[in-house]
Amino acid sequence: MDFVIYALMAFLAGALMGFLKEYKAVVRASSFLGFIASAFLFFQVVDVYINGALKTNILGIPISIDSLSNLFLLVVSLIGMASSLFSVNYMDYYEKKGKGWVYALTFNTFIMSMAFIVIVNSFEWFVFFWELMTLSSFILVFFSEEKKDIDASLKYYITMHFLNTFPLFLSLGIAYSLVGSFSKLTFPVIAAALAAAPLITKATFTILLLITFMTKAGVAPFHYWLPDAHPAAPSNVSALLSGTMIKVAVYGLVRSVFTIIGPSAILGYTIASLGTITLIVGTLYALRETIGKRLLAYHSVGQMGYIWLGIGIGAALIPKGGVYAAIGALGLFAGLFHVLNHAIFKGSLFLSAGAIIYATGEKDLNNLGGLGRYMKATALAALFASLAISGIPPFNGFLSKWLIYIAGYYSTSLLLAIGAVMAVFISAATLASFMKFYSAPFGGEMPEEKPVKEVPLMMLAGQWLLAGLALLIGVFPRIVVPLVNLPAGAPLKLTLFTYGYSASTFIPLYFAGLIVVLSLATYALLKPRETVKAKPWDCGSTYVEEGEYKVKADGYYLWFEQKIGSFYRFTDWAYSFGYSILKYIVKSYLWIARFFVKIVDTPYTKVESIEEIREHEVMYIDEEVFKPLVRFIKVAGNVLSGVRLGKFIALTVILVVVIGILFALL
Amino acid sequence: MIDLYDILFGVIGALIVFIVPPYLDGISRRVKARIQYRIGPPLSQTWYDLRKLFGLPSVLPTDSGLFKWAPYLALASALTAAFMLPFGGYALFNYSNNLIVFFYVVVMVSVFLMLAGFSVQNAFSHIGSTREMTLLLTVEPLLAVVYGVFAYNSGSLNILGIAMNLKPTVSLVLAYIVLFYALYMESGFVPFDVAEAEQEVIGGPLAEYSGRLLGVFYYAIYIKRFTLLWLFSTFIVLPFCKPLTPEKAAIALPLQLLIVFGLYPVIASLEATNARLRIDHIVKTNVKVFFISLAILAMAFVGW
Amino acid sequence: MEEVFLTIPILLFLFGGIALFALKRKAADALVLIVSGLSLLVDAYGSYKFLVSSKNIEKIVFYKNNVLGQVFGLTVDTASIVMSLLVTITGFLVFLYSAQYMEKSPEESNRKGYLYGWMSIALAASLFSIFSTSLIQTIIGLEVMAVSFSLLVNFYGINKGKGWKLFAVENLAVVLLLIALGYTGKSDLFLMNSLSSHEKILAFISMLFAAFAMSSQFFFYSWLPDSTQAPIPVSTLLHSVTLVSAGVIFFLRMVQLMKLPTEAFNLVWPFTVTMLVLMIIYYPIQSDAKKLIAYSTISQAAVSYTVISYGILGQQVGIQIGFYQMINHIVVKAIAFLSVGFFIYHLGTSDLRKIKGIRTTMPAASVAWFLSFLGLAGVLPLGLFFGKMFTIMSTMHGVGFTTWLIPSIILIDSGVFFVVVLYWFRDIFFGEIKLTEALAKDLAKPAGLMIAVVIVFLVIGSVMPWVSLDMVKRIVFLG
Repeated sequence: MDFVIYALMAFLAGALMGFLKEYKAVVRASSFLGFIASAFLFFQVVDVYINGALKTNILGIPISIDSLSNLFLLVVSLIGMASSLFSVNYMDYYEKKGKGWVYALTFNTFIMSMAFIVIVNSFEWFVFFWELMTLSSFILVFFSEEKKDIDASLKYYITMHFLNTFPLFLSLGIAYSLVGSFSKLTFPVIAAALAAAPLITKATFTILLLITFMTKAGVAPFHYWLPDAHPAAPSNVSALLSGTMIKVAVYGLVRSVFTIIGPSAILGYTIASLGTITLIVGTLYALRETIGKRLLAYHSVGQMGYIWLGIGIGAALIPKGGVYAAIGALGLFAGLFHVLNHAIFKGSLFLSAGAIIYATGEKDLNNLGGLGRYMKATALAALFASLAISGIPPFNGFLSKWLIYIAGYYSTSLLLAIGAVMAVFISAATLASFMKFYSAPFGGEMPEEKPVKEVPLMMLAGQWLLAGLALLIGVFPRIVVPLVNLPAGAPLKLTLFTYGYSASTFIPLYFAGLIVVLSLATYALLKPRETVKAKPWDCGSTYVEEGEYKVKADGYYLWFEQKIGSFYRFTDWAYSFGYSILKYIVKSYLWIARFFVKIVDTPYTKVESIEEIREHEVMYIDEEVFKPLVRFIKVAGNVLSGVRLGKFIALTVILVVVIGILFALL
Repeated sequence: MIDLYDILFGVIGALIVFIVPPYLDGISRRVKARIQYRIGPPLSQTWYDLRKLFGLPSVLPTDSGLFKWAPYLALASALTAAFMLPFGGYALFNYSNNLIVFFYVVVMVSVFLMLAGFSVQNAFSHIGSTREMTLLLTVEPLLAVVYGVFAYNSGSLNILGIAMNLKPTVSLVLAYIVLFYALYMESGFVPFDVAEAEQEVIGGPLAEYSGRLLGVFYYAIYIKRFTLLWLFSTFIVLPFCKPLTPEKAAIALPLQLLIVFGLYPVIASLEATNARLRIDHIVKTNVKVFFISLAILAMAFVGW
Repeated sequence: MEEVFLTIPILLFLFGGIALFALKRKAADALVLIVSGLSLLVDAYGSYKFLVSSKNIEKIVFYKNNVLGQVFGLTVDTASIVMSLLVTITGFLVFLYSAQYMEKSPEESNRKGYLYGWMSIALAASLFSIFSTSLIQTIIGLEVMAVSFSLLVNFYGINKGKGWKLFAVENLAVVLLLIALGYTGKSDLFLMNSLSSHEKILAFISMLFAAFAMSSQFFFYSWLPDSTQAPIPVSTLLHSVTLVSAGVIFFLRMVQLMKLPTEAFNLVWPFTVTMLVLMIIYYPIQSDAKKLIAYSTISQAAVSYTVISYGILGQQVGIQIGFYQMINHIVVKAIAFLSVGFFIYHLGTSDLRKIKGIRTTMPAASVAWFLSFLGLAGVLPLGLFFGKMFTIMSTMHGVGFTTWLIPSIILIDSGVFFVVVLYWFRDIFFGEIKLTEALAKDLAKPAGLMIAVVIVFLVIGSVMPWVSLDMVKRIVFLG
């Protein structure tokens, strides 16, 4: 039997753990079953890698796991495993909410739906699991039930409804109108039908799908929901949101561009430009953040820009053929590799942030410090992941970013080279953010002495599964690169030790070995013979509390943020512009709605908001049309019944009529 | 295939890397002194200073493991970066030949410097670290443009590949100027020494270091400066040495050394005649330089 | 032979209804549950026998007249069978729900017989018109439904004008059907396809507006929101399986049987699109949950009408998906009303402005409310998601600019409803309410049976889209 079926059974079992009643039992059992299921998915990945693509049918769902699907299935399984392990203990933090059965159901559904999105071979099923993924993540985002989180979840779900559901349904409609049958909407069939379609249809289809995947991946300008939604969710869910869900959007993009629509220069340059803008906007905004998880969320946006830059290079250059096709394939490979790497280190970072919240209850970096003494394992995992995301060798982030730069620089296109320039700059900005993210909680001393313990073993296991992989893949890229390169087919120079493209090679093990040997040797030769312990030198400022004697997180890059202030002002303006469009839509709606409500129009009646309109009675058009007639009848009835001389007048009228008829007859 | 020349040039290169950097600092001190109408210390003074530091005990203001290990990791990174460069055309440890990899390894020195500053509870060392990072933030874009110009011009991003295939154009000359400017900043010479800020109370990320640990850090910083300068001299000398034979390499190596020794007094005199810039000045200036360098990149891609 | 099994439910509901007038409280509960349970079983058996046979259609004639053609009979095809199943299942479950719901006050409990009586008669009339083969049969069913519902809407004795409004509008529909009958001279729907093109269009217009009046479409729509003053079980039946859906079925039969000229397509969508736009304007200004549901009914019925009208262009998939959309709507609508029933039962109001913190005070009801109201906007796991998905797919096969206009308006309508529901969700789910003694007592009222019914409906609603998709493929053009 296929491992995917076992995984499905484990997910279903985990989802139904709500029947266990007791909160702790429910969350532990369901998380652990999530882990088992993700492990089955991992076995499936290995199986497909060894035995080739898998085409099958599960419960009537057409499944096709090719090399591209396999890569993303790997992402889902790895982050699923780590997050599930972490959740076994982490969900105790939310015990007061008592929504154990909701967690069990939505957490397992969430991971399962993401796994199925990347393996189904039918557009209808793709949309079904996509919506299931959005619904389950929505419920998880407002899990804490605090007002801020509820608002963030609403923003998320409404954005997804208009910018994901609408375009997906419309593109399904286009696909159906091209193919002509409900049951044959598999990706190759749609691709064939689209190839024969008129240009306007192709363009519309492409734009609709582009909007969908831009929004879900968090690409500017549709990324605004991400920095609010990802921090709102519990940290184990945030790891899945940033680590896996936005990657599933990348799967959609690559599948659409390379399998269904076909790569082209204009599409490639568009994707690359969007990627460049996104990496700049996301990372520079992250510099300003001091709430740990918001910082990480903005970095998810920024790093997504890297991925889109790489894929854009691929889409633009592969159609050109020749040496450009090789560079394009390199860019595509680097983008896909960054998908895997980012999932790994971002997942680890969110889990570390969750560990900090679990241990201290504090989310703001300004109020944290000195945790490195008590939470050594978490600190080292966070350090590894921070160095990985900053692209420092020998961690995995460096490998994928390096090849994105090379692909951009070798592309001989000014646009793509500028993209690479911006990517290098933003890599430094990423380093800046993560210096802050690592050192603010773990460096120095605590602001107030509080008892802090290291987090439980399962949570450490979750973090280290990913942080360890970041180092392992960085030193031995041969473990995963062949799997990642299968869909891209880039001509890499890859052996057990070497990693690179044509003449640019890098031997991570050699490098890491050199660093280790040199540092150990110099330590052995020059280690301090005597050491004296003393308090840090305060230069006479004895009135400052020891816990306060540091630079707080919001002061780290003050000058830089001030000097590039005009950039922030511009993008803040863009955000408020979008917001005011919404307000104008509401205002014009209110103007229309006033006609449908019974309002007496005086200079003093003001209707500023929907709540005020609801105070009035609703007006029905059909009633209003007939109101005059009804009123006339009522009035006539009142008048006629009130006339005292009724009998006399009636007789007179009859008399006149009779006389009139007699006259007429005569 | 490791042949005799690899070993020979490698050993010479290693010796140069270990021994020369403090002497360069000595040259710098001599030149500055002369400009200030003093006589100045002997050229080996920096070596004497380091020896004294190595003899003193180290004060540990924190239990953090990072504090103790950062100097050695920084030194290892600086050495690793240096060993990657071609000495006469032969690199000692060839784990990569790519320019981008080189600069990332150099950045690791700064990373460990910053982490060291952050690991101890001292507001001044924190400020020093944040300034170092801000400086790095403004330097990286300039380096990125240089990568772009070199890649388009020579078709390669490997140090030897670039040096052997450069075509003289206006944008290339401008890129060299930008490269020198960026290397100057990254080495932290006055007027860009805002991170170390020796004359200020703040004293940079190394404020809490003393004794051997401080000595190791200083040594790492000297080696880093030397390495960056060696890169620049490689790009000056090697383009004239194609094709690269051992004979040519034998001439190239002394030439590289000569350029380094020749540039250092120039750098020293710049240092002596300028005051330190404030961090916000630096950021503002570098943002402008960045936009100019984007124009240089565009020029390169047009073919000028 | 099936006609026995399919006719028995009609007779059971009719006579059972009459008998119920004499009963009160537990006795009424017992009788109505026996009647509806038996009807369910019998109808299920008859439906099962039809569905396993490979017949598409079976026409059973009870009374024929040489002048008018078929007058009474049964049109047994997949559409009417599935509808009859839904009528009997919904009827049974709603009666089960009412048994506990109507206990909320002694007066209502005493009048259970009256309520159940008219509800049963309405169900009988609904089945009668669903299986209808002719205009006369439809007219009779419609008139009986009009009488029963106008009396039921006036159940609480306030605002009697609203019940009479319902009566007036439905009688207008009857008049329009009589006009069509008189104009064509034919009652049998199966004979309508032999008319000339010109005659067909005129008859179609009159019958179309009759169907619109039955489903609260253009022009007389206000009776449906006003009818929500009736007790919740009545509203549930009215909006799901009786009058509104009977109108849709009648329109389905028109398209299935009459072989209309393709110009007739342009007679339908302008009106339904107008209704959709109108509903978009009405959604945000509602503060009463029941009225919000009512407007949603109007728009979902409009969607059904639009999709079925694609059958006029010759696309069989149109009538299949239009029917699919409607039957999924039936279940979601039922759950929506029943979940609002909890609000009235425990809190005494359905005004959403006054409700807060239901996640902690009424957890089961809150989940049902969440799933059903979002389900009305087309959110998983309930069936309208699939209805909408297939609707958008089929409506993009249209003519000219309607290819884009119709799917877009349908999506915008569901989008606005979605936003409105989400904002209400934020307000009523969370927050603190002051638990006074009276409130605590109200919240503690036994609601187990009601919850069980809602759970059953939720299961049906989640399973039905999968099960029924293959069934609707058997709906074809007839005659």
